[in-house]
Amino acid sequence: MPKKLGKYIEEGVIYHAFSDQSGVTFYSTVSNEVFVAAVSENNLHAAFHLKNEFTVDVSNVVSALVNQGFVKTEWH
Amino acid sequence: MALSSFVLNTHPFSFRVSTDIEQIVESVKLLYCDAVEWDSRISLPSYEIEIKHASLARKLFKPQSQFFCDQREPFLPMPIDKCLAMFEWGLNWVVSAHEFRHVILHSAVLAKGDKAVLFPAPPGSGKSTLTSWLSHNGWRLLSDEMALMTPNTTQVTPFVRPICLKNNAIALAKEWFPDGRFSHISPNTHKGDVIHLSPPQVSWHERFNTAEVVAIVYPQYSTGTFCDIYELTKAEAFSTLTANAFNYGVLGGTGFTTLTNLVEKCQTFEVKYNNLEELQSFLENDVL
Repeated sequence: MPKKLGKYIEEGVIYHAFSDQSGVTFYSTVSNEVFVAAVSENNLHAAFHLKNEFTVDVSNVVSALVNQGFVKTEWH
Repeated sequence: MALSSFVLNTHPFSFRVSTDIEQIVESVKLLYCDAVEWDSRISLPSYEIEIKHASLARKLFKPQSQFFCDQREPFLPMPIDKCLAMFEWGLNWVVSAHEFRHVILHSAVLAKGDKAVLFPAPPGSGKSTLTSWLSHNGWRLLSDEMALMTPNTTQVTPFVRPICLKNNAIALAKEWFPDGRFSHISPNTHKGDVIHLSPPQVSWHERFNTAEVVAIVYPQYSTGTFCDIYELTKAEAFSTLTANAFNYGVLGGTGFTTLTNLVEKCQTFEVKYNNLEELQSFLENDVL
């Protein structure tokens, strides 16, 4: 798992990788916001490796996923 | 008419209803069977509901009805000929806005024995038509409108109410179930013409019994498609399921884990169909 994503998850994200390997989904407790991304694990790796500057912030995670076109559903 | 008062014991919620509209009293008698307690003093209801004529002037000129929940009026008044639709939709709103013990999904729920199938779908997908068909053909109805999921389990609690049919489905249902208990039509609502159909007695009698969800089926009525079935990935099923969740954001982590658990333990399908018998056969032979 990318290092910065690992840090983000440690600080307040519940995630679930689906058993059929069809994707990963997240729920953020950092700012009490809810967002869901259903993406493949490989694509998720690619998204965060491409991001050079990354802080532990919900909006950064969301925008990284949105920019890469991986977010299927998102709301706040 | 004088003010009538009764309790609807629609497990797990009950509503004490006060009304001066005769059409509401007659419709409730017809649609709710033994879930109505006419002595409203004998039980403590979850919610106090009032549906009544608007002002005296409005009784004479373009009559309207008003809906109140615990003395608050959440909606604008509606013409009196739509009072039953307002009442039913009002009860839906009351539960979806106030209930946080369950994760609530916008979904029909039907069961055979204690095995239930969720049918989450947006309006216009044929969900209620499918619900009316299955509930009159050997399945028991748990809900036409919302699935009440016990957090972190696959257990669903029934919330049996009349089935809301719209537009073309009205004539179809009257043809299929000539002995069905239908309300009058609420004409020209924002959903078109609307009628309510009481589910068969077995659904009312079993309304206290929970069931285990074994499958999630996203139905889509399609005129030109006999019955096409697609198995969904867990990620696709989850994404669609969250879009149909009422209180998922409020319940936060509990809602999240409930839905991921549900998707993991269930088969998930999308079905496009125009033949209800074929769909029923698929459900009974391949899903349950």
